[in-house]
Amino acid sequence: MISITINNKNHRIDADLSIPLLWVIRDILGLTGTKFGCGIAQCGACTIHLNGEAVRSCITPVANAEGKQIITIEGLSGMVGMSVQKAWLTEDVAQCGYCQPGQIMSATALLHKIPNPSDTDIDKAMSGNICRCGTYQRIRKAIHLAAKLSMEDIK
Amino acid sequence: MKGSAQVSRRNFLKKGTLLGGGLLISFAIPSQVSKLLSNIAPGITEMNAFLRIAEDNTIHVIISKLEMGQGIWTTLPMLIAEELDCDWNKIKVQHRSQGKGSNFNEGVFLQITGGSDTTRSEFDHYRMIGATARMMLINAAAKRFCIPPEACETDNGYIINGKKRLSYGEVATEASKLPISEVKLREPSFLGFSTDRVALHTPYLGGSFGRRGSFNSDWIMDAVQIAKASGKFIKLIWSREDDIRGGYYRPVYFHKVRISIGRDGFPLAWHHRVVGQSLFTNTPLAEHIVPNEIDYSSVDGVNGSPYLEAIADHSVELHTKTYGVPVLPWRAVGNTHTAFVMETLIDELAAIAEKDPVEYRRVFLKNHPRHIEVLNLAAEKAQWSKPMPAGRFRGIAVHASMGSVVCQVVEVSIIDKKIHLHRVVCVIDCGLAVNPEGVKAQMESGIVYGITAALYGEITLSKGRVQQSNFHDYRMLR
Repeated sequence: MISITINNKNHRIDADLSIPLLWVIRDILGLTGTKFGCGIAQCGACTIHLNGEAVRSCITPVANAEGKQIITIEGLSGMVGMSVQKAWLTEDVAQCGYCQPGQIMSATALLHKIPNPSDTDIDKAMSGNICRCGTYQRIRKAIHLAAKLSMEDIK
Repeated sequence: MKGSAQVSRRNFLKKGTLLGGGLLISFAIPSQVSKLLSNIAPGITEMNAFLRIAEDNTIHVIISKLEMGQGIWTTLPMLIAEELDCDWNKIKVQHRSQGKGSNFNEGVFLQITGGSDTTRSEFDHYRMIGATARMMLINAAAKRFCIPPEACETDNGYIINGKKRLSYGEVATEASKLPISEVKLREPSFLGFSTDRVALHTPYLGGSFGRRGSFNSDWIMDAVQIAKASGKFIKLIWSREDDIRGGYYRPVYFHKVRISIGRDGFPLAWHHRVVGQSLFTNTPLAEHIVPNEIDYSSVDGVNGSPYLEAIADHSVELHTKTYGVPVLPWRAVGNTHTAFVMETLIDELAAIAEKDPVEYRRVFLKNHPRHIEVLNLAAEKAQWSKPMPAGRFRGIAVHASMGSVVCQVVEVSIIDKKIHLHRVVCVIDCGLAVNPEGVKAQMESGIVYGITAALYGEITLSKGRVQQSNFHDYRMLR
């Protein structure tokens, strides 16, 4: 038994401690917004926030998450989270959509650290997320827009 | 196995009541071999076969074919049992040619077993007899239960309605008094049950890029087989390793082109030979895409090229080869290799003629206004007339496919032997853009995919195995 906090809710999980967090999130808790893409931290589809850091849940053993705050795409909230969602819709970023939960989680983590990122900041922070549809141009645009939206909100 | 031609039920089924009760169905079967012989010797009758369901639940299958170690006493009753849904252990098998049932006074009788014909010719007949008997037993039981037949199920020799059960033997005599039932044979399927029990929910697809253009939907087969074997509800997610080593790839192509060049720098003759794998041979689309054994998708983009139209003396050959690697379409299918070859060649020709690649194309394509328009606009947006700064290079290509004409200019530099991509200018004439944002998204998407293929995207095979396995060695543009 292990106790974890996902999206501000406590869960007691009966699972092997070495099982990747991704499968606890998807298969045990049924939160299927977080995607499996590669299983070896090469694509970013499984990105979640662990204490505010963007991490790849496919290689994170569930034991590493004990006592930490886990946020998945379903639990995205707050001003930055809302701005990112709004920007993603405004720019119509998604095509097939499979990688987008991971893209959004990486983008949100970036904006928490750097509220007004440059193109270079974005390229660096987002380089761990693959999009086979090639929505990169709109992702970058949406991140700039989200930065603008959340800063306007502060003012 | 594919069932033989539709058998007319009325032509060969007869029913009767047995002396001691029970259900008897006889069937006279025209097999291929006996058909052949009856042509030579008309008037002969083939031996009948019987299915007899007794009140003690025994099921006699009196077969029309001879057992000689080839296993027909098992195979033919299996076909009946499968449809009848009966207890296999209660089946007794015997040959037709014994006892009172034979009448040797009516002329010549045939009992022929040969030509490796039995399972093929009897497949539908024996299934039909099982299915008919089952339906008649259901009808009899439904009468007894005072419910419609649709409310009844069968299980291993019993007709069931809720908690009520009747064995086949209990209703066999009553069944024999009913008319012969209309039944429809199930299509044989890998599912092991009829497709009318299948509900297909089509979810949002996720990316495809050609891999889902499969005609056998192998991933669905996978999921069904796993669900059947495990007896569980399943959701199947392939590992990335299974996906990358998943057995279907973009076909390989080789182009060999011989061009003779005139004094003006333009081709006088063009001989184009394409060698590669066919995508659509042996698929349900073959009739439309592979007429006369030429897979249109293999040459699409060379065939019909506006450059070739301008050269009176040109010829395009296709040599279709089969290799051990199964293939599926990849985005844009044939045009992905033909556009590359054609536009590379045009650049080489322009270089030989010492002409500007845009100017060279303008002359070559002068009778194709849509090509000229996208070419001019792309050249203008890319500021083609202005020289590039030192160390920076650019290339241009124009190609028509799927009703659209596209021109792109790519600017790159090479730093430390690495290609740096600075800019791509893309112009498309797609006619009326219903959703311009959608067209833009698709073009950006195609550019990213094309660059990924140009820089990475290699799949290599060693000893029959794909060597790449995941995104670390099968890279994507990031």
